[in-house]
Amino acid sequence: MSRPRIAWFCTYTPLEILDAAGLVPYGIREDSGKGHEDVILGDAACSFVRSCLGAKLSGAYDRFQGAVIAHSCECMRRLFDAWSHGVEAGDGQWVHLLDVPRKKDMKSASFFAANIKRFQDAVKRRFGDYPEERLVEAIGRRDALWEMLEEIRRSRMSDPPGIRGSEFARLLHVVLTRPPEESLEKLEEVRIEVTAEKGERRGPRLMIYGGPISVHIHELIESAGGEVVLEHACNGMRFGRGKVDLEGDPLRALAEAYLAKPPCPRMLGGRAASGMDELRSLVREYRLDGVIYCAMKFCSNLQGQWPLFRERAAWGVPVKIAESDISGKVDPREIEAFVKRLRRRKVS
Amino acid sequence: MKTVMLEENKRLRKEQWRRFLAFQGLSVEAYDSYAKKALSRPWEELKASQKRGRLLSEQFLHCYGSHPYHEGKSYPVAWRSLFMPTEIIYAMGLMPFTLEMFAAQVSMMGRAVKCLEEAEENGFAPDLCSFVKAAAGAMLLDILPSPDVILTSTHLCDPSAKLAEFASAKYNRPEFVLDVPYGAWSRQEGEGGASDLEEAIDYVAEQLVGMAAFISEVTGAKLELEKLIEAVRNSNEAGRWLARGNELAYYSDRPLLRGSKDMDHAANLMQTWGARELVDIFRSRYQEIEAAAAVECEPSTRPRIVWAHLRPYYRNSLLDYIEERADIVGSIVNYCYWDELDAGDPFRAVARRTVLNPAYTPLEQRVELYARVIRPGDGIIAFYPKSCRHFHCAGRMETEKFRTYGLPMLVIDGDCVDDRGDDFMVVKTRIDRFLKELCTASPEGVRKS
Repeated sequence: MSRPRIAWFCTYTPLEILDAAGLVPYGIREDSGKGHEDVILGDAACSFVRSCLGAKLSGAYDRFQGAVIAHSCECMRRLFDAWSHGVEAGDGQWVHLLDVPRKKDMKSASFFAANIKRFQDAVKRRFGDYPEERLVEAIGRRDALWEMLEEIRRSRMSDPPGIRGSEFARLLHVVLTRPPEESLEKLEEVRIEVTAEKGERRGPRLMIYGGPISVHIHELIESAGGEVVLEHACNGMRFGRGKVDLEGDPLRALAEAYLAKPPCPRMLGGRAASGMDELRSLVREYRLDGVIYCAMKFCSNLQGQWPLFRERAAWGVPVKIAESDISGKVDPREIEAFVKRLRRRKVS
Repeated sequence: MKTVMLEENKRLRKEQWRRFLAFQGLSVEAYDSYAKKALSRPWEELKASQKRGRLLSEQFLHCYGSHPYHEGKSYPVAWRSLFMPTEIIYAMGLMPFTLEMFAAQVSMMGRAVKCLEEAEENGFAPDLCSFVKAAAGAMLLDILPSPDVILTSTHLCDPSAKLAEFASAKYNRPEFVLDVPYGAWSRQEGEGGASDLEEAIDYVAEQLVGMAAFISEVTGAKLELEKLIEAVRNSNEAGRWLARGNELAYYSDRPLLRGSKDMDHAANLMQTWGARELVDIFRSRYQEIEAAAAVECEPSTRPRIVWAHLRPYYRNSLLDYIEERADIVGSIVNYCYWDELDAGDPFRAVARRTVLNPAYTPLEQRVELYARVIRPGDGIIAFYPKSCRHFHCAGRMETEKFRTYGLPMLVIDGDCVDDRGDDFMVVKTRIDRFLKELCTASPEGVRKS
C-alpha cells in the first residue's frame, strides 16, 4: 500500500514531522498547477499561489491526503483561506497552517518550536501517533540527505561544474517529491557520476535568485551559452537546512535549524541582513559572473527586496532582474543579451 | 556616538524640511507664516477631527524639528510601520513618524505620483503597495525626516516590512522587527485554548521589552515604567470614548456623524495611542455624536453602510457620491476590538491588543468577528487597493462569507494613494447596483433589526 502524500509549499516546513509519521512530503514547486486561478483570489495574488489553488480546485491535488501551508507571506495566508473555502474546495481534505516567525533569535526559535509541536500534534491526531525516536530517525535521514545534496551542489563550484544547472534542477525535483530514502538512493547515484564528470569549461557562471523557479530559465540560460551554478531559490539552496543538534529538545533544534537556513526574502531583521552578506560570499565561492534575479510578479517579498538587493549588490558582478511568473516564461532575448554581456565581460 | 548621530540627524532634518516644502512649491518662510496662523486657533475651539488633524500636524512638524511655536525643540524620531504600537514610543519621549500616513498625505496634496514615479524608476515594482511605493519615492527624494530608529511590525503588510529594511540600509539606522504571530483569535479556539493565545502574547510582550531596550541603546532615551503606565492609561481612556462614540453612532436610527470624515480617525492603525491628546479627541467625538443624537429628527430610510479598509486620499468623488445616497454609519478601522488594557502589566497589555488585531487572522475567523458587531442588513463597502495582497485577495471570499451572515458586501478595486488608474464611472455602476440591492433587501429599506 502506498504511503499517504502530503503537499507542502514553503521550505520553512519541517518535513521531518511528516517523515516520522510515515507520510511522504510532496513539495509543490514550479509544477504547482494546471493553470492559474483568478476567481477566488483575484489576479493580485502571485501566480504560484494562484496556480496552487487552481490545481486544488481542478482536483489535481486529490492525490494528496492533506496539505501543510506555512504562513510564509500574504499570499500563502490567502491560500490557506481559499483551501477550505466554498463548496468546491471544502472537501474535508486535511490542511494545517504553520505559522513561521520572520526573524531568527532565541525567542523566535522557542516560539517556532511550539508551533512545530502544534503541527506535530495535528499530524499525529490525523495520521496516527508515533514515538519520539521516529522523529530523531527522520531528522538523521534528512541530515544525510541534505549533506549529500550540499556535496553535489558544491561540485558546481568547480569550472566546469560537476553537474549542469538544468540537471541539478531536475534532480532536486526528485528530492522535493519523493520519500527521503528514495531520494538518498538517487543522490548516491548522481554523486558517483558527478565525481567522475570531466569536461570543458563552459560559458559565464550564473546564480538564479528567486522563489520557486522553473527549469525553463535554466534551459534558456544554457541555450544562450551560460551556466547556472547556483540557485538561491525555494527549489535551490533554500530547500534544506544545516545539521540539527540533537543534544536537547529535537523540536527546538529543528526550529533553530530551519530559521537559520539561507533566508527567503520573507525574513527580516538580522537574519535578512546576514543573508545579504552570505550572498557576497557565494559570489566568490561559486566564482559567479552574474546574477539573474527572478522577481515573481505580485510577490511582495521578492519585489520588495529587489531595490535593496540591487543597492547592496556591489559584488563586482552584474545583476539582472527578470520579471516572471510561476511558468518561468521570460523574454528569451533579455536572457540571451545578458549572457552575451557576461561572456564579453569574462573575455575582457 | 549616539549624540553625534542624533545631532547629525537633527541637522539633516532641517534640510529635508526645506526640501519637503520645495517639493510642494513652498518656502520655509511662507509655510511658517501659514502654520503659525493655523496653529494659533485654541485647541478647545476645534472639532474632534480638527483636533486629530492638529495633533498629527504638530507631530509631523516636530519630526522635522520645525514647529513654528517650538523653535529649537527636537525629539528623537522613531519611524514606525502602520501597525506598530506607539505607547512605548511616547513613554520614551520619541516622536512617531508613520510612512504610510506620509503616503496618504502626499496623495491628499496631489503629489503622490511624483513619489510613485521616483520609486518605480528605482526598482520598486509597479504592482507593489502604493503606500509603500510613495514612501519609498519620498525616501529617494530625501524629503522625509531622517529616522533615529526604525520600528517595524510584521503583521498584515509584507511590503511595509521590506521597505523598513530598505530604509534601514539607506539611512544607516538600526531596525527593530516586532514579529507578530498570525491568527491569535484562532489560537484560543484551537486544542491549546487560551494558553496558546497567552503564548503568542508572551512572545510579543518579551519582544516589546526588548524593543524598549533597543531604543535606549540606539537613542539613549530611557523608559520609565510610570510613563508607560500613563500612556496605557491614556489609551484606555481614549479607547473608552472611542467605543462609546462608536456604539452611539452605530445603533442610532439616523446618521450622527459624517462617515467619510470619521473613518479618518483610523483608530486601529493610528500613531496616537498613548498620547494624552487622544483622550480629548475621542471625548470630543463622543460629545459631537451625543449632541447630534439630542436633535430630534426623522429616522433615516437610506441604506446603511459599514466601510472596510481606508479610502482614496487623492481628490475624487467616490465618498461624496455614496453619501449622497446612503449613510456610512461605521468603519472597521475604527472598531475598538480590544478590552481595557491592564495598566499594571503594560507590555503584556500592549502585546495583547497587538496580536488580537482581527485583520490578522484567518478569513473565516475574521468575518465571524466582524459579523458579531455588524447589524444584519447593513451593507459593507470595502475599498481594497489592488496592490494589497492581504485585503484584496480576500475580497471575493469575504463577500461570500459575509453574505452568509446576512451582510451584503461590495468590494471596490481601487487604490488609496495612486490615482493613475482611477475610473469613477466603472465604480459608480457597481455602487448603484449595490445600493439598489440594499434598498430592495427589505420593504423598509435595509432595516431588519
